[in-house]
Amino acid sequence: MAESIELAVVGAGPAGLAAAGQAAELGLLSVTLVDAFALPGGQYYKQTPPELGGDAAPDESVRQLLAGVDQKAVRLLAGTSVWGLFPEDGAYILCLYGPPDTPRRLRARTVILAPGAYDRPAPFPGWTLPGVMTAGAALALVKHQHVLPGRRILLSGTGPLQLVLARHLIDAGAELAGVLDANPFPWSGWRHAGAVWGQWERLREGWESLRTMRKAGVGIRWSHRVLRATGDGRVEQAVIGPAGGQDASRQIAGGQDARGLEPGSAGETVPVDTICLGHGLMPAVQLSRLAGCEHRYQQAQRAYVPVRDERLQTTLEGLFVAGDGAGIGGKDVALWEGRLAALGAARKLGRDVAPDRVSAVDQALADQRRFAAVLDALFPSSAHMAGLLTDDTVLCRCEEITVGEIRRAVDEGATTVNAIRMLTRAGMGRCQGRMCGSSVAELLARELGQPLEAAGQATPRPPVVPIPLDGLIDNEEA
Amino acid sequence: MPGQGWDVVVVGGGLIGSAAAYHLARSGMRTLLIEQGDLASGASGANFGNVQVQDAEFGLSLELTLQGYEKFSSLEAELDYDLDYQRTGSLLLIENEHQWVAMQQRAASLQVAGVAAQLLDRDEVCRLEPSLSPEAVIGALFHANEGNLNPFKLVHAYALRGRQHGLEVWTHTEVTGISVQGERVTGVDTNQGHVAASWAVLATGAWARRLAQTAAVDLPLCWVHGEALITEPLPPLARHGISSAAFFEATGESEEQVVGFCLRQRPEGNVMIGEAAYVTGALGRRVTATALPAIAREARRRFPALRQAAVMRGWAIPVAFVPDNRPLLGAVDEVEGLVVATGLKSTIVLTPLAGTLIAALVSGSDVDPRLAEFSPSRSIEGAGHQKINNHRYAEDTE
Repeated sequence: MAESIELAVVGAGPAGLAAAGQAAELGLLSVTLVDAFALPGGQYYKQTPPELGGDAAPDESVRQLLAGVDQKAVRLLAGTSVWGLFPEDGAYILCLYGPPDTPRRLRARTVILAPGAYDRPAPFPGWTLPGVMTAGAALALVKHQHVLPGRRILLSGTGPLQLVLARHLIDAGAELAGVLDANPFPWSGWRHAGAVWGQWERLREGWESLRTMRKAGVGIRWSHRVLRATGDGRVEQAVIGPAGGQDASRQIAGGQDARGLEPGSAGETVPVDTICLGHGLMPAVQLSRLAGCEHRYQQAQRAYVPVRDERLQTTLEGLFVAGDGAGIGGKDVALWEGRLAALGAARKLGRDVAPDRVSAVDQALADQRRFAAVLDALFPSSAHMAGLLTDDTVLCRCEEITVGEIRRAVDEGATTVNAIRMLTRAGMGRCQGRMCGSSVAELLARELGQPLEAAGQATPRPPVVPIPLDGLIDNEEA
Repeated sequence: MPGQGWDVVVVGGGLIGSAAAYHLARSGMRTLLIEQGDLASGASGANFGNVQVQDAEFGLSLELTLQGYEKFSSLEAELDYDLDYQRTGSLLLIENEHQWVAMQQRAASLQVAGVAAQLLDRDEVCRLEPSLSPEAVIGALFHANEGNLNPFKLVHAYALRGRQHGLEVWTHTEVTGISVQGERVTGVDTNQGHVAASWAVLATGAWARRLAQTAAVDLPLCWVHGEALITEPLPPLARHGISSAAFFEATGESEEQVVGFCLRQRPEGNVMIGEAAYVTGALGRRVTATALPAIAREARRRFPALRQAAVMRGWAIPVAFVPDNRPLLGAVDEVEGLVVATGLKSTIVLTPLAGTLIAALVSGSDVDPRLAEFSPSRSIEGAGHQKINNHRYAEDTE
């Protein structure tokens, strides 16, 4: 029999930590925080494990968050995957797989999903060569494991995360071959001064990154991106070039590609041993999709995200989503959404929640969302250049399915991500299409001249992460 | 669309629908195939791809199944498409003395009917499948003539080749009803509007019952909510299609989840394992919280090497059946121009045959009079006991 609890929080990043801490403070019983990593913190507050020399104390804000869950009122199940989420008789069954003695099943009256996001894949010819990695992976390597991903590194992507990565790489002694931003210089930034006002911590972070880059002689090349990579067994050269016209994002939104980007476009060759791709993030919607709440395509996110009410409840009673898993908003949006979702869960569980408490959180959240919207407007994740892809470019890395195979399936009548999956096996591998789903959708949009959302979403299938067969079965029988 | 409408609208882009549409188009009929989702996105894409003879009912079903099986040796050539077809043989695992007696009788009857079936003892089975736990079996019924293919590709190949004969295919279009005037089909209504046609072929699996009701026809059709899973690619584990003889012991379908066992290793190495099933009035596609653990228990008992294999995904689909174990295949008596093809037990093996039969029916050619046995208008004893609740139709779109 599954153990019954009042609240399960899935994901111990900023949103999940804030939600669990807030829930404990509100006096909810048996709050359980489940996280796949060995230490809480998620991607943003990632803690370096002691065996990798993680002796640095987390800073004050992180300490407070961790203190919020480091008490009897919150049970942390670390190193534990949630592979299934099933609505059942007004509650939710969570299927877990973790270290020995971790319960395999929980029955939660309310659930807050805080699954975060993953790097948006940005395929180009040569992107499967060793030495090409996502910006998120490179940041984790250099910041938390104190490992330089390479010696001569090219950054290609968009937005401020690239600047943070550039600074860490330079500080750690890497040579940067360049920082390319697929979007034009954000001339219109001044229009957003109001929303940026007060965000001093983040402005300081950005400013320090730019200063570090200037000292190292590294500038940003706007409206540029990597076009292809070559090398014998690993990346040796990157070919870079213009990312398209000023209106690249708008053209792509209409199902068109940026001008002038065709396979083999002339470009400038840069010797590198590492390429980091930072084309934004994708919300991790696998569990919310599996639970069956409604999702809608959001143009600004170029992704499907769960539909939520003003209390962050999905279209399923008692199921809340907070943070990047409901659309990329960043750490501060996630923190406030976590708190708001906890207030919502408390109310759903019949607790008295003072209205002024909710309005205070609402206010703080609104400020953070305004800032996140500025970043969305200035650095749209528009840089997927389906036009660059050659027929031999691998799109689905799990099953090694090429662009050519997918184009053939399109010629034979496939129009959706699911149809491509059935015909070519793209998305049938271990990652269940997390890594190729958006790329297939972008390719379909280009090949068929259809809007991105017309490709639909890959049907969610449990287990949402691979689980050993034995791990599906309850502990007492194992 | 032709001004005067289509000769025939085939509803359902699965195995039977796509095969029927192909043969109809090839025989010169103006044919439209309509599918609510993607092609093969219903039960046709959720099976193991087995070209299966072993579970056919004796009599006409078995005769047609054997005829159907013969067609597969030339099907890839006919469709000019690689279907990943291979003859693997199958093993029906015998797990207790009671099953042994029943399978002995079945083997004898099959041999009389001309089926290459053979009873094997435990040692012989384990020599054929070394990964199988000897404790789990006492023998098996071996069928040499069974095969496997990729069902997605089969559906797709029919649609693709049908298009070359003028077939039109509309995916992501929902048929909401059959329109009938004066007891004659006049077309179908869809979420894109009315489509005029002289014939309508219902090949929508479990969804056929609800659609037929729009033409005031109540089909004796039931379905189970069937669930299965697939592992990561593994080294060779099982060469044959494998299932449990407990299948023949099942005493009718249950509203409680019942777990059987079948297993098939794909050419890519992934191992498909099924299945959990319960009878329901709902047309859902959601995996239940209990199905995957239940299937895992059955699998590791028989194939201990699977214990650490990573399970990559599970799926669920309504699978149609008819209480008398014979398909609903033919014209409906009450409504002229309405043809039904659903509830075939082993659908793939009968797909090419059903396709030609439907084309023959619609074009007015002679068909075997014995097919009256499969009439969708026949009365079936026991159909009333299946507790299908027509008011409980609840559908999700996943």
